[in-house]
Amino acid sequence: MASILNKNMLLLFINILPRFNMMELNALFEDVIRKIVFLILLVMPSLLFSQQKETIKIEINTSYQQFEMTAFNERINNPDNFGFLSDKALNDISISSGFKHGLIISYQTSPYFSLGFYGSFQNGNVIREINYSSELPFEPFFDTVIGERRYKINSINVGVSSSFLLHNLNFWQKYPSLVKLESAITFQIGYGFANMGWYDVHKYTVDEVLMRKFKSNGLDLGGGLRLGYILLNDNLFSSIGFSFGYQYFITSNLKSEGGKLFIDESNTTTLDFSGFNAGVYLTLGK
Amino acid sequence: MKTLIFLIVLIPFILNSQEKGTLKFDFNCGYQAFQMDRLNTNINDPSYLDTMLFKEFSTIRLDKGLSFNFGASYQPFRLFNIGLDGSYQFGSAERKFEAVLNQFDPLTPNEVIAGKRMHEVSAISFGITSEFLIHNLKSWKRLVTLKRLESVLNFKVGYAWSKMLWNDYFISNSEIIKREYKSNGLHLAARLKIGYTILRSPIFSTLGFSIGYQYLQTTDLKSREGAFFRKESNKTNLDFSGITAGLYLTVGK
Repeated sequence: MASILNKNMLLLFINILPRFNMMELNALFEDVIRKIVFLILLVMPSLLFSQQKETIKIEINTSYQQFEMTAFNERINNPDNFGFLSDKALNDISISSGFKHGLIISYQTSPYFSLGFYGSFQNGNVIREINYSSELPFEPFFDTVIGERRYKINSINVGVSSSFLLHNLNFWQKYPSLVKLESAITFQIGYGFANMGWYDVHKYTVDEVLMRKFKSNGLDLGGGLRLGYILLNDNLFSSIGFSFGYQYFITSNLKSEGGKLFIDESNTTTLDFSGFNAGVYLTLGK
Repeated sequence: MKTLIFLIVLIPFILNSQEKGTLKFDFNCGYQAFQMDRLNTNINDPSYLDTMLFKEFSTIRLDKGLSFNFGASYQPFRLFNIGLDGSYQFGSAERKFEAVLNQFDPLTPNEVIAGKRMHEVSAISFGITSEFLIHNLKSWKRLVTLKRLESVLNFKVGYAWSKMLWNDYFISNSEIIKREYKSNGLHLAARLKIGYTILRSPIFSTLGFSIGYQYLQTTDLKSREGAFFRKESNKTNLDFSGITAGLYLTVGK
């Protein structure tokens, strides 16, 4: 930047020199100096922040995550799919949210961008109370079964992540009150591996549960805005803040290890983890 | 001349003193030996198994697995660093089964149930680590001419949460009968790492081998409802203790 500036100034001087007398030249010189000082003051934040290039950092985040499990929720509320579970009318249950925990390792390639890898784990669950009379194996009479049917979903996602560092923009640096604040827009692209399991827990399952497990996977896309407070900016860099974003992650149809579809060929089910998220993050870097 | 010799002797330490304040991240994956004697005895005990399921009853053992570590550390001194570490390790052993269910109705063909019984153990551990940086010793600099070679002794103290699952996978109907037991315990580990620095600037990166030993004996396995595995009079713990060997990658600045 400095060399480009000097070259331009030199060309400017060469072009204008023959046309002015000494007084005009002094005035012009003062004007040029003023402009250079102004330019340096304007460029200085960028020069300073260019020192933040090559920062390596780790981020831990945790957030509340909305899901759009429309197909899945419809399946688990359809009595045709799972038989008789309660002597009373069944209330609708749904998995519509969960928690997401993530880890990002990134390297700042330029003053405004960083590139890295991310890994995340998200999960959600829902419980339906069961209460029915049934003739159980090895039981001569009908017996009342009281317990819970538990549905659990989770996924592990991995991929690449990039951030656009708003706090390194010139306009951000103009305001001294924002010096301790950082902000970034983050994009993620990766792949997710999801699991769904359901099982019953009641008095006949003291140390044994009959669990059905299904798997699926799909492309994971995410974007979000981060706003944080810089705790440390000395030898080490550390910040803490809030994040808001959206995740698009729809998996393939759920399948068991043996290849059986959930629930059947005509009622295939995907898991849709897509939705808004909001959480907190902590970074540490150098 | 004396000044020159003095400077040559001093230079490595001046350079190494710059390594203070290093922040680095470590990934390690490797082979892990276990000593699951009590568990192995129990999973091979015919009185415990439903032997009618198994056409052939061969002995299986759960004595090795894989481990993955991720750690972040900060180097406040030339010879030592301190950090946090998380690890996951697991192992499994399986036995195939095939049972014929005879039907009372002679016109109905007998049902064959095929599948496998899978025994799985896993442990997640978190703790603090400290490394003794052998390559920053004066003697190392004198003896080892390869400047890019690093050697580190890594120590970890942590706590682990482990699980033992034994699952029957029924291939015909995709069902799994799952039993889950949990336990936990103190985790101690030590490893020697020898690596080669593949990148020095703008960040440094090292790739190498590690070998070590971990001590991790858990409490007795219990089900969610508090039932012991296998029973009150025959409790079983998990012993993940054993030799570990693997590869590691370090990235830092």
